[in-house]
Parts: sequence; structure tokens; C-alpha cells
Amino acid sequence: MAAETNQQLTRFNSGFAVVLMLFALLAAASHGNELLKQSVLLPAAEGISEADLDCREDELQEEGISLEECGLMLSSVRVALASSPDWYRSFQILNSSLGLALALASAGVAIRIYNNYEVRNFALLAFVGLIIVDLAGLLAAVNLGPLLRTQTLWPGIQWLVTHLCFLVALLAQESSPGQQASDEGSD
Amino acid sequence: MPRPGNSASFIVCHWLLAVSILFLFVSSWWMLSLPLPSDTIGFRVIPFQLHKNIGISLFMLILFMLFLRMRGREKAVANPALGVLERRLATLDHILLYGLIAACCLSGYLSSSFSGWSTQLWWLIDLPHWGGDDDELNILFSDIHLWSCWLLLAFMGLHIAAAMLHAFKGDGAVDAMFRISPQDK
Repeated sequence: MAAETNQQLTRFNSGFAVVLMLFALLAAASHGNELLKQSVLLPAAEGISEADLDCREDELQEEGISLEECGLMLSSVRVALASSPDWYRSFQILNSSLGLALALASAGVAIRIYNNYEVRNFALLAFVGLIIVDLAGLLAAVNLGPLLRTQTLWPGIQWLVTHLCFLVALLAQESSPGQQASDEGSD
Repeated sequence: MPRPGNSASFIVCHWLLAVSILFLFVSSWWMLSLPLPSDTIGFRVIPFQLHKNIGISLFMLILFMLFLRMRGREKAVANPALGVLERRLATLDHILLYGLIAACCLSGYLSSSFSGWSTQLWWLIDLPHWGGDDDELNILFSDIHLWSCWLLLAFMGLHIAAAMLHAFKGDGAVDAMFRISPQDK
């Protein structure tokens, strides 16, 4: 009976670890991309106008875009900048840096869970940290102009729900009979 | 008895490869939405340089991983829980994945070499600009880059799905990239 419960716990841990690793890497890539966006957009947009656009026919063919799309690419950057309050860029750089670090930490949590190491405090720190980063991102998104808000609010909610699920799964794993039996065995 | 598992350094290389590839996908889709470059518009300069630098570094990383495997320090140990077909599929999956990563990196580098734009390795070393400006070759390698990357994404999806399947079965097949060797503990 105890062996079966332990086997179930090992299966839960290995499945949980792989799913966690996948989402940790996706979150890290997403925060990394946000950092890149914030590093590039504002500095490169200074002093640019439509007159600077260079929509040559050969370039359009190469990119597979229409002349109209070429013009709208600059408008898309303008939308992002016009919808961003002054504080948004520095906030996003800080929040995404934290998110990136915590996402990489949760990848470490995945490895530790797979290897059945003691992980509680480290995992709680990573998941709660990620939830705070998501909540802060959502709060910021709510205060953006509508054009950028519509792009950022929904992905933010998806990440928040994902990280809440991981936190709940961690807590459920801790209170499972298998984990309690394992803890008692190691005492 | 040998157990399925790799050294911590090999495992780190694998996950570094994975997160870098995901970043390259998400950032490349975004950077292609940026305004086309002109004399005064330079939105794409940093993202493209970063994309090329990560791609070149990943190519070096897979060569390093291959070197480790060839030296025999990282042996692929057959998991007894897997059937013959599963083992063969796993081998094929890895050959295709690493082959596609190499193809993506090489075709991207070649496309860039014929684009007329120079490449600085991590903003430190000017790489030789040997290709010049050849639109036909640039488009050819760019198409190869595009399609090899889509294929890579598809095989990554399969790879991840297979890893999940084995993880939930608890058969130890994913030990190789998760299990830390006792000497690494």
C-alpha cells in the first residue's frame, strides 16, 4: 500500500515537474521578449515620422507584406508608445526582469521536484513571486491606454491563472497522503 | 549499472538550448512586425543582431553537446521500460531535432550573410562579411530558415508531448534531462 502511494507520488512529481518546466521556459521567453521590446521601442522611436518610412517594392516582396502593412508597422509602434504612461517602460523593465529571474527559478524548482528534493520554501517563493509579478503586470495593464491594454490584459490573466494553478498543485502535493507518508518515513 | 541521466552541465546545456529557442521564436515574430529599416529607422537593428548572436551561440552549443556525446562522457543509456519502437522513435526524434536546430542556425546565418547586413558577435567581434548583397541567395536561405524553423517547432511540440506522456506514466524516460547524478548532488 505504502509502495503504491509512493509510486503515485513519484508519478505526480515527474508529471508536475515536466509541466512546470515547460511553463517556466515559456514564461522566461515571454519576459525576455518584453525586456527586448522595452529596450528597443522608445529609444528607436525618437524623432521618427512617416516620411522616414522606406517601403521599397523589393523589400515588401521579400517580407511578404503590402504597402499598407509597411506603413502600419510604424503606426503599431506608435500605438504601443501612445498607450504607455511615462512610468510604464521602467516598470516593465523591472517587472519583466523579476519575472525572468523567477521563471528561471521555477525551472530550478521543476528539477528539484523531479528529484524529490525538499522544495517547499523555494517553490513557494518562486510561485508567489511569479503571482505578484503577474498581478503587478495586470495592475499596470489596467492603467494603460485601451489600444495597448487590449494586447496585454488577456495574456496577463492567462499567466496569473497558470501560476495560481502551480501554487495550488504544490499545496495539494504537500497535503497528499503520499507526501505525508513520505515525510513520516523520512523523520 | 548505468542509469539514464546526464551530468548537470549537459542538463543545463539542454535547458539553455530550450529556453533560447523559445525566446528566438517569440522575439522573431515580434521583430518582424517592426518597421522596415531605412536611413533613419532602426527598430530592427538590436533585435536582429541579438537574434543572429543567439543563433550563432546555439550552433556552438549544440556542437559542444555533440562533442560531449562523442567523447562518451554523456552516454545515451537505454531505458528498459521503453519498447524497441519507442527507443527508435526517441533516437529519430533527437536526430531530427538537433539536425533541424543546426539547419535553422546555418540557414539563418547564410541568409544574413547574403543580406548586405553585417554581423557583430555579441557586439564585440565583427564577423567577416563574405556574402555581400545577393537578393536571390538571401531569399533562398531565408525560405529554408523559415521552413526549417516551422518544422523545428512542430518536432519540438512532439518532443514535449512525448516527454509529458512518459513523465505522467512515470517510466523514467525523462530522467536523462531531469535526474541529477548522485555525484552532482
